[in-house]
Amino acid sequence: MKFANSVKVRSEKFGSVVFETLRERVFVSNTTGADVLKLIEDGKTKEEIIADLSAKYDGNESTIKNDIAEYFACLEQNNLLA
Amino acid sequence: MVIENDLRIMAKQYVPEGGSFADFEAPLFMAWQLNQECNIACLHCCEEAGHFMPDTLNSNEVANFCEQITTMKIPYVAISGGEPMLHKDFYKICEYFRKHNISLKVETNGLLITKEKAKWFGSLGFRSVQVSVDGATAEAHEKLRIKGKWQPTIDACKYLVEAGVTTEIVFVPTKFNIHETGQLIDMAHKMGIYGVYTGKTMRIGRAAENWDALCPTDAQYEEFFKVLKEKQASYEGRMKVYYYPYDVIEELKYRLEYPSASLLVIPNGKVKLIGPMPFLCGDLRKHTLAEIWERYKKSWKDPKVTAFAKKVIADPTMVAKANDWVELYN
Repeated sequence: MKFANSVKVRSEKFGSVVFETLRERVFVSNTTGADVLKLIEDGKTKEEIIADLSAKYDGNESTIKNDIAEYFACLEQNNLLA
Repeated sequence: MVIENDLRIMAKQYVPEGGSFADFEAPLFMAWQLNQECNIACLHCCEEAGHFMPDTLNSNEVANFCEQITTMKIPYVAISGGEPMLHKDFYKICEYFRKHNISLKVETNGLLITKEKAKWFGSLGFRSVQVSVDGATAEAHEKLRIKGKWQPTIDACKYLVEAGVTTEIVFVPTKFNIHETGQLIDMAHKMGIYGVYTGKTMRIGRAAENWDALCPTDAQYEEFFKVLKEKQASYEGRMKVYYYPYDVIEELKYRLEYPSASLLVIPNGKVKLIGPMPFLCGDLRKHTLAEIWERYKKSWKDPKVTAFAKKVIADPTMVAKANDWVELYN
C-alpha cells in the first residue's frame, strides 16, 4: 500500500498529521492511527499491517481487523491512498 | 487497542480539531516570496513587486533556508514573488525541494514558461503551477497587468497542461474584468486546467493605491459570486472552481481566533505573521526556522497585534499599511 503522491504524513506528539496537499486538506490521527500510517509509508500490505498491530497491541485479532478496515475505508474515501 | 475509526478531518484549515495550531511541532505550509523583481507591473499587486529588493537573501542564505525546511519536515511549500522564475536560484531551489519529496507549488505570471520550461516542470512532479490570468480576453487582462501579455500567458497554461503539470489559474476580480469570470472558467475547462481560484481583491500594496479604480461595486460582487456558485456546481468532479467568499477583514477576524500552521517568508528573509498585517515575527538572518515557529505562535498573542487587528477591523483602509513592516523582535 502507498499514499497518493500529494499526501504527506508527519509524526507529531499527538500522533500524526496527514496533509493532502493538492486539495489542501489536513487530517490528524491519534498515536495508534499513526502506527497504521507508518506501516503504510513502509509499504506494508493490509494483511501485514493487521499482523503487525495484532502482535503489538493486546486484543482480539478480528476486532483489530475491523478497526483497520474502517480506518482504511476512511483513507480511501478521502483519496489519500494511491 | 483503539484506532480512532476515522481520521479526524480538521474543520478549520491547518488547526487540529479540538486543539490548536500550536500543537504542531513545525509549520505545515511555507509560503515563500522568493523575490520582489517582476517583469510586469500589475495595478493590483499586493506585494508592490517590480524592483529588486537590495537585501534579498543571497544564495548561501537561500540554501540554508531550504535545508531548514527539509530538516523541520515541512510538507508543502509555495514559491511566489515578484516573478519567482526571475530569481537566479529558482531552478535549483525547486529541484532541491522535489528531491526531498516536498509538495511544491509555484505561483507565476507564466510569461517565462516556454514549451521546454513546461517540460521541466512536468519532469519534477510539482504539486501545481498556478498562473495568474486576469481575464478571458487580452483587453481585460492587459488593462490590469501592465506589460503582461495575455496570449503568451494562455500559451504557458497550454504548455503546462500538455506537459502533464497540474495547472491552476488564479483570477483577481476588478471593475475591469469581473464580467469575464464565467467566460474565463469555461475557457479554463476547455484548456484542461485543474482548478480556477478567486476571491475578493485584497486592499494591500498597489491594489490599495488604485482602490477606487479597481474595487468592484457591491452589485458586481453579487453577480460574481452568483456566477461562481453556478460554475462550481456545473464543473463539480471535472474542474475545481474555488472561491474564497470572505474579504480580508473577515479573514483577519478568523485568523485571530484560528491562526494557521503556516509561515510567510518575504524576499529579505523576514517572516510575516499574516499577509494583511505588518507584523514580522522573525528574521532568517537572526533566528533559526525552529525559533521563528515558536515566535510565530507567541506573536499571535502580542498586544500590539491584537490592538492593530482591532483597528483594522474598525477601519479596513488600514490594511494598506500591511507592507509597512513592524518587527515584533529586537
